[in-house]
Amino acid sequence: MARSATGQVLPTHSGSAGLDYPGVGPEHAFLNDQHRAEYVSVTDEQALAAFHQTSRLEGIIAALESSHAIAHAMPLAAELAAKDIVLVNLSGRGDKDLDIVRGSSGG
Amino acid sequence: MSRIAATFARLRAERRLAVIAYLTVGYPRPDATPSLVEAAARSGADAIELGIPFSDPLADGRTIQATSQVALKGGMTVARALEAARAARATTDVPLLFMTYLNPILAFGLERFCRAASDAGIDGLIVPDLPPTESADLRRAADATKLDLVFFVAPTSSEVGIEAACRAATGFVYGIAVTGVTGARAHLDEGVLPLIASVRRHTTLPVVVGFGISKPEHLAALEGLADGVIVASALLDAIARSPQDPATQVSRFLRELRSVGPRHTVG
Repeated sequence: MARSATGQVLPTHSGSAGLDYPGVGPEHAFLNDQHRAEYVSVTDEQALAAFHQTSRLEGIIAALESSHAIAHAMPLAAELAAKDIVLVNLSGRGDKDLDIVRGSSGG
Repeated sequence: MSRIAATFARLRAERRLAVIAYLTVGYPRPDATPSLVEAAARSGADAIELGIPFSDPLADGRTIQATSQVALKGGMTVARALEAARAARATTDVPLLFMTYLNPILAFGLERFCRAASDAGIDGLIVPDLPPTESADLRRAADATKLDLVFFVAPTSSEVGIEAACRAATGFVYGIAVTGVTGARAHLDEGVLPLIASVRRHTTLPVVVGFGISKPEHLAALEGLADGVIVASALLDAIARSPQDPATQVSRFLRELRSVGPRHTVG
């Protein structure tokens, strides 16, 4: 939970509506505490760039939420060997986000 | 016997409905609460619920959200609410309960909070986002510091849920009179009567009805059925209408609420 020292919930911002929330679910919190998963952050700009790149290169309009994952996966893949396998979960479709993308990218 | 238990025992003997007045700590001004507690206790409140403001009060409607925002902007915190409670306790012997959400309590520290609340003269805790099934830690801390811990039942609760709340609760059981959030309403939900009956099957604790209680008619309709009512948003609305003199508003509102009008039925 994004919270102040006195326990009040802090305001949030994300260009992606599904991520504009101050808390994470208990499963993710548990996986993080166990060090079984590593959690990273991605900026609005990085996610938008990944959104456009996936659309252009793959013909897939990924949701802005999923575009965050792509934005992290691309530089990560560049560091790995060619035989390594990277799996990205495109958890949603981006046609719902076109208005936000248009507003952010000027068309 | 706890202060809360003694109060309900006395009122039961007098066949009187307890009126519990809710005040948001730090509303309408950071230092307002002790004098409003004093005014409420002198004007017929049998107990007082002190709401420590939280940024995301999920059980609360527009009125308490707004008063919470005012109080938070004024700098209200758990630590300051404890000071206000201590000052309020110096003015009255009526039971005082803290109502707040789990996050501010956890940030302050569960056991530290209970100890400090008990030291300040608080008698019980109401934590709307704490389900009975998750309450073992707070229950331990509350028991160790002689604080009652109240749980909620609603018209939408299953029989199993009602039984769990009744088993987990001490002090009283808080019956939610409506399906929804807090806020003054014209009529009580007719689901409240079967709810009270259901609670009586599982516990001998007093049943107090809240959410939507705003008029003498609501009290009259619950007389002899419930053990008490909690009046919150309607009282805060009265303060909001004349925030320059909140103590007078509190006194007038509570006196009028006690003036029993024609008997109405629930529905």
